[in-house]
Amino acid sequence: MTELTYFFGRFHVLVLHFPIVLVSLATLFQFLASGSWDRQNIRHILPFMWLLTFLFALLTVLLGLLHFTEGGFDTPTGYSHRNWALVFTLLSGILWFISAKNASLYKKVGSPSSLLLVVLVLITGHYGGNITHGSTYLTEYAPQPIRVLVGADVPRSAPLTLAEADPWHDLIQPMLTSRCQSCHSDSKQRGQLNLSNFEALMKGGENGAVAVAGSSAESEMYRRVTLSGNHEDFMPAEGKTPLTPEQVSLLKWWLDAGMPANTTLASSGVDLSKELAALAVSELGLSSSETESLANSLAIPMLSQQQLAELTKAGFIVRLESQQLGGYLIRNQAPGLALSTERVGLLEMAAGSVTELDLASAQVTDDLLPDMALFTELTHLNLSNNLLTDAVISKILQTPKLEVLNLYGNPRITDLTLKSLEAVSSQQNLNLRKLYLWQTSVSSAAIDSVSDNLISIGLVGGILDKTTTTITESESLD
Amino acid sequence: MNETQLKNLLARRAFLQKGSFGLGAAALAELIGITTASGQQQAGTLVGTHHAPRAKRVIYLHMFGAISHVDTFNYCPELEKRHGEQIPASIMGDGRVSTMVQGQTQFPLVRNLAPFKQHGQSGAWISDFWPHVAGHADDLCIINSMVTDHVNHNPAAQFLQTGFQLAGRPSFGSWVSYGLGSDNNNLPAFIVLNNMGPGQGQNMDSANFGSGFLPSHFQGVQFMRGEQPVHYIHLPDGLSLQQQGEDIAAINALAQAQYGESNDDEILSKVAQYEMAYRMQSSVPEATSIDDEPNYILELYGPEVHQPGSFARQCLLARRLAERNVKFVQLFYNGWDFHFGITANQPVMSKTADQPIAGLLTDLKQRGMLEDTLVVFTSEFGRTPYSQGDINNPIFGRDHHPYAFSSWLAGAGVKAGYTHGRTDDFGYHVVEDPVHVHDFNATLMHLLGIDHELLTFRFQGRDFRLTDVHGDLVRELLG
Repeated sequence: MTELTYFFGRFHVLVLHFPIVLVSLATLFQFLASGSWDRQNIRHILPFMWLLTFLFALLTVLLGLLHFTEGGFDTPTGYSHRNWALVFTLLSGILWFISAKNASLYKKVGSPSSLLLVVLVLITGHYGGNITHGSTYLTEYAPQPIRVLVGADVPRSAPLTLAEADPWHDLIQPMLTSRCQSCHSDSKQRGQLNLSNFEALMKGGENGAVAVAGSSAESEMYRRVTLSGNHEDFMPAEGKTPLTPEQVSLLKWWLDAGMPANTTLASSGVDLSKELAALAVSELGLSSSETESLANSLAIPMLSQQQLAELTKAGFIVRLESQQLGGYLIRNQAPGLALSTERVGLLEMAAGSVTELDLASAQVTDDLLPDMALFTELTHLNLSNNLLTDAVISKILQTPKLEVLNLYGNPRITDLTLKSLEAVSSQQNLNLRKLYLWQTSVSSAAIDSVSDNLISIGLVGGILDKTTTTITESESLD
Repeated sequence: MNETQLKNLLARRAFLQKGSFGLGAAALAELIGITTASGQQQAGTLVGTHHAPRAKRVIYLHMFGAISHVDTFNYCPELEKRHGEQIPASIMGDGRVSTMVQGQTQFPLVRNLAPFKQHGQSGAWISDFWPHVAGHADDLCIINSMVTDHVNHNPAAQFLQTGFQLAGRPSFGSWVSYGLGSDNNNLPAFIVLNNMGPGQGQNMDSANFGSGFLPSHFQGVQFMRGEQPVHYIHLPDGLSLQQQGEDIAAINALAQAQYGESNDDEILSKVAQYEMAYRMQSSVPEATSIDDEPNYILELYGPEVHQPGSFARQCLLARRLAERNVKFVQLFYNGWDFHFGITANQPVMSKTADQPIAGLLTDLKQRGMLEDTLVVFTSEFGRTPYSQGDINNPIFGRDHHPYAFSSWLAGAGVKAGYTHGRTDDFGYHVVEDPVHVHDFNATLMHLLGIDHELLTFRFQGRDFRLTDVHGDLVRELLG
């Protein structure tokens, strides 16, 4: 029974065009008939035209009510569509009655009533269109002044580079709008699911969440779009245009990356492989050369083969940290292999590409410390077991992204280093989150009483007094 | 062996001439006719890691024989309340049990054998069997929802270590060694330290650290327990390092000639191993000597550290090897298989492991090494919440239990001070956030910068990987 109801209901979208044409045609005849020449005869057909309009309007409404039972239409737009259609049908019936039974009255009200019916059918049709195509359908490609005039959402300006694209607003939402919104929008919510905005997506549908941040495998929406096309759960349903394989890959990436939104690709810190970046570029309609510039904006410059060979020959181990984003770990090949001016020169030439530098046990003195300001991408610096003094901390802090600094085993580092650190941190934001100070001359008292400025940095002192097995550590927020 | 691997091999040889061993090495390099240093390192198959690695090296503590999760890291107060009662049928279901308890008609629950307390700011529940490790509660990422498919030691251990229950697949360490290469040309990238504690041991298959179908020089190199961790590491009387080098050069020249005829890749592996052995003659005595360790460091690891071959000594060695950038150090600590007498013997066994492991964590931490060293603590499965044997007989034990067990991670990039997943009130089944062995391995690989789906080796016409066709990254474990 239900299926039969749905079957007939679906004919609503076919039959609804009849009353539209009929009311337009009847109105046309009405105005032709009110002319003065020999078209007067046309008026004899008008009662029949209004009867046809009324009957098809009635049929459309009945089919529409059947269609309504399929669910997903109980939104304000859906109700408006239904109510205006009922008003239209009622009025067309009255007009038919007048035209057939009371010629003199019809003469007075015929023309204004037919115009009113045209207006009513436009209103009803507009709500219907919103259900099918989404409420922004009309204004989507409207010129800017018109959009402002009608108060439509002014669109985000398209990102010029992939790096500044917002993963949700620029990549995923447009895809969902074009492929899913005809059933899952503000105006129509099949399965009580609305995919028109991030909050609604997070809310999920009648069976709960559809997207799990960090796991495409657990995300129902991903499962639905990757089923075989003839599976009954496959989305988009009813033979609507499915997502392209490229869009599916981007959706997987976005879910796995934890559904980043309201950020930019560059600052969200998520990895995007070259292939995916190329897909994203084509989704965004950016020029293909953008893939190249993406590598420049997101990634850290690669070292040349010659640089790699020279560094290796000079006794460094060089490891590429990320095939996607670049960055190198450079490590002294053997403990005890001393740093020299020449070796420092090589490091400085590579500085902009180094994310981790390990110069443990390399007999580094203050004079041999490379120019840290050159290391713009460095996050981890290991200078343990060297000969550094309190003078180096301010130099080290010239590298802007440093997160972890290991100074253990530098006996000439004292409480003054913490003082300098506090001075610098009061002037600039530090990314530093861990500082290792075991076997330096920094006192446990200094570590324990670290000021509020440094509370976000974990200071690890180690077993300073050699009589306990407990590590001296500052209380840190993380 | 492909061209790249061959080049690596030559590059390793070129390293000899860099003079890290003085005259002997230089002479050997000259002897085998290499005049230019290509400067290439012993790189792995991967040109770089897939993404930036949080872990640069791994210390993997495998408690072989299977630790009882309900007596260590999975607190189940219901067991205390219902001690001696039968395990509810609704919990046990009709899942299989091992043949060792199949004949049993009674399955009485056994209480947590040590009291549990909450530790650290994170309030992690840890039993009193681990007083020292508990001091590191805020460094640990405890997983109480581990699941495996296998119920016997070697199949389950191989399932964990190689992704397959039968011998013959490469182990985790050899995949890492194959993929990432070595950061220390004078030591193997994958070193194994086996040990048997004062508990109930089981035979352990070397396939747990084998290289399977990978070239055999990627297998774990096993260090012995005695005073000398590697047999015959010292030169025989009357032989100089240079003479030894000349011998090896001559042998390898013959091997090369043979390779020219047969193209058998294993010959190249053998050449590589001879060269590694030669370099280890200098590097191993230095790395394994504890003469330069001050007393207060030794004390961290507990009194048994003074005894060569003890688990405590091996934990200290693990730190020393990690410090020398050995990528993968794996300790198999055998003796947790308490089918009988668990009440009396488990505390003894735990005591030998607790302080050394805690000492290792402290020592790594103060050196800043916990920042990029991943410490893994796991068993191949757990033990039953019910008793094996008559619970009224003091020698009852606990049987093998694959449906739920506990592991923890510490260090590089893991979410510290966090407990993941939950079992039912009896520790029998996982009810929240299961972490299957394949998921566990995928996550460890991720921490090392490797996408577990992309590190493969073609064998018998198929691209194999550690996680076979399974494994999902468990993001919740990442810090």
